[in-house]
Formats: sequence, structure tokens, C-alpha cells
Amino acid sequence: MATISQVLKNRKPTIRLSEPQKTAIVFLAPAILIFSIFVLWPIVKSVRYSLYDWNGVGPLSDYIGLSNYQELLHDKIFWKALKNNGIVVIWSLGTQIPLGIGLALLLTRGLKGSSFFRTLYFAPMVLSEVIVGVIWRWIYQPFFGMANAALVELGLDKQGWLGDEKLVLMCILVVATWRYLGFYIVIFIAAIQGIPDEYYEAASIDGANAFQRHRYITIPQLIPTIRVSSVLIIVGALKSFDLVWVLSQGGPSHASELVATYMFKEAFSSNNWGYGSTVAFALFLIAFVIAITFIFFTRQKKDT
Amino acid sequence: MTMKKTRKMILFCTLALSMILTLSAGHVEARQSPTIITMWHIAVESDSFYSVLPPAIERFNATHTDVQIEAQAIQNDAFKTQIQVAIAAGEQPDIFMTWGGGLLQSYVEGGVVRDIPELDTDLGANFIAGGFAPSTFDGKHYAVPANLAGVFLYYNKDLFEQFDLTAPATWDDLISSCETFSDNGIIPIALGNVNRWTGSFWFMNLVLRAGGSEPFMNAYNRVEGASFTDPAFIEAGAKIQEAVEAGCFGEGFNGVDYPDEQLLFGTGLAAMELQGDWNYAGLLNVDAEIAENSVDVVPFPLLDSEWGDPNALVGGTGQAFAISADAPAEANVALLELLGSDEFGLAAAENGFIPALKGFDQNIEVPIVQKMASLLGQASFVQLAYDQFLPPELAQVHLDTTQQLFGLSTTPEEAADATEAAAAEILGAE
Repeated sequence: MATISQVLKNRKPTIRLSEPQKTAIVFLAPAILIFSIFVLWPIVKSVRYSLYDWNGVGPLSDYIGLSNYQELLHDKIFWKALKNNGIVVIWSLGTQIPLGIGLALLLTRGLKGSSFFRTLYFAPMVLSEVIVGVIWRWIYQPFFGMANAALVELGLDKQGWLGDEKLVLMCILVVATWRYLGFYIVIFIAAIQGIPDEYYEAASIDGANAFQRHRYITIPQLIPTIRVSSVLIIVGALKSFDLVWVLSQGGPSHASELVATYMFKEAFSSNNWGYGSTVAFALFLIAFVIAITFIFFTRQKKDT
Repeated sequence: MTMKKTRKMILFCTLALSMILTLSAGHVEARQSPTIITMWHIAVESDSFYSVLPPAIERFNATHTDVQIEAQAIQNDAFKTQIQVAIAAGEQPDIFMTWGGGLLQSYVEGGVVRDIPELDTDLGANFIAGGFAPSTFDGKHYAVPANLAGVFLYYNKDLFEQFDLTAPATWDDLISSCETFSDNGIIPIALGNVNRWTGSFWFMNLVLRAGGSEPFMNAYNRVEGASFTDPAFIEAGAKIQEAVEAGCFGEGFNGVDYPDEQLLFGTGLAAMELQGDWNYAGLLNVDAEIAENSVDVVPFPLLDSEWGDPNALVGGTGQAFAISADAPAEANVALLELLGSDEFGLAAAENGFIPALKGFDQNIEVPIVQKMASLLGQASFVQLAYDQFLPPELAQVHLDTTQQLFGLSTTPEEAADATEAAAAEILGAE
């Protein structure tokens, strides 16, 4: 009897926090508060704006329901921007991860000068995106820039670079890779150094060659790092803004438009704050869904 | 330990006390202080207006006790964003810079700014009436102009002389001189069209030359039978593409920005540039010797030597200032005193600006600025810049289609159709 009543007593749903839980809440509170004020609340506000036809002047009065979202679905520039974002994602994944791993492998072999190269590759990372943009604007300058000077030296025709609708996105991707490669090299170096030497020793004893050692030890051991890097790259590529803004402002004629630059232009140049908020929320949803899906699928693969 | 604790206690008390003191000091000051009028402008130190506006504000504050202007300078591009955020939040400063036109009109409609009836009284008699045009809606003035502006064809006299050319008077002259320059490895025309308003100058001038002032105004006012597909717009687009194909702007100009455009012309790498009068101050910064000795301006060439009015030009107000609807009552008179004083007109003229006040033309010391001021004075029609005049959304369509025309990625007809479609949606059907 006594035991049954005790069990029932224990089942009673009481909100009793343990000491560590209380401590956790106290320590998390400031962060949650700041996060709510500066991240959650603006998202809520911007969802609200996206339901209005609002030019940023005067009160929110023109409620139009989901019309902005309907317009978005038929907006050619938005789809072009989204396609460009897709190109950025695919390019970044396809260059930064293989190149990052490759160079990290070279730099961890203890070759002469590897610390010099490590610094060299990492150097662009310490520059802000805006400064990187300004530097490359000069390199791509069609009349007196380095890129065209090099072409002339080689006896080739000058190019319009950032002014050429067909080249502009490629030009920006090259800069983005230059800027971020160092970061992923460092991440992969750290991961490679974390792989226990015993694995390699064992493999060598079993007669595995260099390719096999990398194929069956290094790469599998790097999977978690590759996954994290991929999420960083995807989210970074989807929300990228600064570099494009400084290099081309999304132009010429939207050839290098990204969703983030389009959002900025709609809100601040066209004064369509409602529609700009719609673009912003769409971008948020897309980035969120892609990142979650990616994490989900890569997890599944690991488990099976 | 106790020592540390006492020290901490003392520190805490001092901090708390100093906070209380500063707070109360603020209160005391507020009770006795003059009316504060806040103001945002773009005359930062690197801006050529820096030597005109900030000293005028200092003078104003020194000579007034009851009203004080608290000004904040914000760089041009940052200003555009910040003022809109401030307005959206209802926290705009009492006085702020504006270019008038469609954007200001949206502020008028939103009740953000108030009208300035004092401009119609003796207080405003000093101002050149033309300066009110971009900021007058329904007969009410909503901004006080600080300077006037006009767009002219800058050219490098030395380069023209070197190849026995004269300043282009007609479009054919312009194209043929472009060919000469580009054959000789000189960039014929500097254009930094990342910013798009730079290319818009070409389009607007060509429309003016092709059809006069009516096509644009009629299309804007949705007059029956008028539209943005008028032959003048198509011809303007076609002329732009003719110039691009003739190599007048070189390669890649759609990716070059305005500062680089200034650099190309200012260093003598390019022979021509279509820019506003304000550009001259920038050219002086690039290379004062070239700017002073080799640079001159002419009105935009005629398309046909037999037809067209060389006195019609693109321009209007340079900078103007609007007053927030909830500004202190003293703001109107204060602003008029600030920008309407003789000292201000003189300072503007002496620093190479075209004053918005009457009777200062002779004070302009720089010959080229004097020439621009007198061309503006004689103007038979002044076309306000489309991108400032039109509602912001339509302005963006105009800027985009013009950039596409320059990039040869659209045809003049398609560009005109796209602009008309947007106009029909934003301004209403004809």
C-alpha cells in the first residue's frame, strides 16, 4: 500500500527544478532576453510588415493579406536572385570543401614553409568583407585594373568583368572563395590533426597505400567536420550581402542579384517596406528549411 | 579582502552619485536651455559642402540664444538608409536633407513633413523661385533649397586640341570625336554606371533633345495619348546604344562606380564626362591642375543641328532641407534664416556651388562654375532628375532599364514597354 501511494505521489505533475536547472535558467536568461529583443521580435515584426502594402512612411494601414507573397511567386527578379543564391551555394560547396581538404592535407604533412602558406591562406579572413570588396573592385577595374592589365600582357582582349552581365557572378564567386578558403583550411587542419595516428599506423601495417589511407581513414573521420562546414557554407551563401553589395550592388541589371541585395533594394531604394519584409521572410524560411533538411539528411546517412 | 570591498563600495558610490548628478544636471539645463532643433545633413568632412553648411550652422548658433541647431553629418549613402529607418520609426530629426521629388512627396502624403509657407513671405523673397520646383506639391513648399544644380558635358580641352577636335555641338560630333579618341587609345567618355543615376543623365538629356520637355511630363501626368513609350524615349534608348556600340564608354562601365568615373576624367584618361556642377569640386580633388587648366563644360549636344533647344537642361535643386511635422515651431524661421542669409549665399558661391539665392552669381570666383551658373540661369526648361522626381519604385525601374540599355541587354522598345508597364501600375492607367 505504502509503495503504491508513494508511486502515485511521485507521478503528481509538479514543476520542481533541480538546482543545476535553476542555475542554467539564471545564466541563460540574459542571452534569451537579448536574443528575443534583437532576433525573435524583429522576425515577428517583419512577418507583420510583410502582410501590408507599406512604404515606410506613416502608419501601417493598408493590410493586403498574402498578396505580397503571391507577387513574390511571380517576381522574375526574385527567382533570378534565388537562382544566383543557388549558384553561390553549389559553387561554394564544390570549391571550398574539396580545396579546403586538399590544402589542409598538404599543409599537415609537415612540409617546409607550410606555416607560411597557412598564414597566407588565412590572411584574407582577417580582412572585413567590405575591404575585400574594395580591393577586388580595383583589381577588376576595366580601365586600369590588374585583371585587364594581365590579359593585355598575355595578348588577350580586355574584359568588362563586373560590368559584364555574363561574367559578374563568376567574378564575385572567385573573390568569395579567395576570402573564405582559408577559414575552411584551418577548420580541416584542426580536424585532421585530431585523427589518432594509430589508425594510420594500423593501416600502414595492413599495407594500405596513401590513397587508401585517405579514402578509408581521413575522409570518414572528417565527415562531421564536412557536415558542419557545409551548413556554414550553405547558410553563409544564402545570406551573403556585403561582398556583392560592394562589388556590384547586384547589377548590372540584376545579373548578380542575391535575395539579400534584392531585399535591401526593395526596402530602401524602392521604399517597398512591406514587400521587402516579404522577401526577407522568404529568405529566412528558405535558409532555415535548407539548413534543417541538410542536417537531417546527413544525420540519417551516418546512422545507417 | 576588506580593503578590496571598501574600494569597490567607494567606486560604486562614486559611479552612482555621478550618474545622479549628471541626470539632475540634465534636468537643470533643460529648464533653462534654448529650443533645440535637430538636423541631419550629408556635409561630412569629405563632402564639398562641408565648407559651406557646417560653418553656417556655427554662425547661426553663435548669433542666437533662444534657438540652437544640433546638427549631425551623415555620409550620403548611409544617410539615405538612416533617414528612412528614422522616418519609419517616427523619429526623424526636425530638419533633414532631401532631394525633393517623389520621395519627399511620399513623406508629404504620410504626414511626416510640414509645409513652409514662410517661403512665400518676405523671408523667402531672397530665394530663386526655380529652386522650389522639386519640393512643391499642390502649390505648397515643403523644402528650402540650399543650392541649385545642373548637368553639363564636361570635356578635356587639351585632349580635344591634341586631336584637332572642338567641343561637340551635335550628336554626330560627339560620336565622331569618340571614334577619334578610341582609335588613339583614350577613353572617350568616362561613365561609372554601377550607380545607375550616372547613365540616367544620358537618357534624360537625350529625351530632352529628342522630344523636348513634353514627353516626360505628359507621360508622368498620364495625359491621354502620352506614355513612356513615346518616340522620344525610344530614340533616347537607341542613341545610348549607338554610343555604346561606337565604343564611346569603353568596356565594363556598368561595373565602374562614380568615384572611378571622376578619377578617369579627372586624371585625363578620359576625354568627356556628363555630370552635375558638383562634380567639379571632386575633379579639383583628383587633380587640381587638370581641373583648373584643362576642363570646360558645354550644354548637352543637339541631336539635329536644325532642331532642339540647347537651353533646356537637366538639373534642379542640389540639396534642400525639409522640416519634420513635429518639429518645434521655431524650426521654419530658423531654417530660412540659416539658408537664406547673405553669408550663406556668398559661402556657397565662393566654394563653387550655384547658390539658391538671388544676386550671388558675380561672387562665383571659379570661371567654370560661373559658366554653369549662367547656363542654368538662362535655361528655358530645367528637367528634374527622373530618379528623384518619380515615385521611388518607378524610379528604380527607370534606372534598371537604362542600365540594361547601356549593357545592350534590352532593346529601346522593351525598355520603354517595361517602364510604361510599371508606370501604369504605380501612377495609374492613362
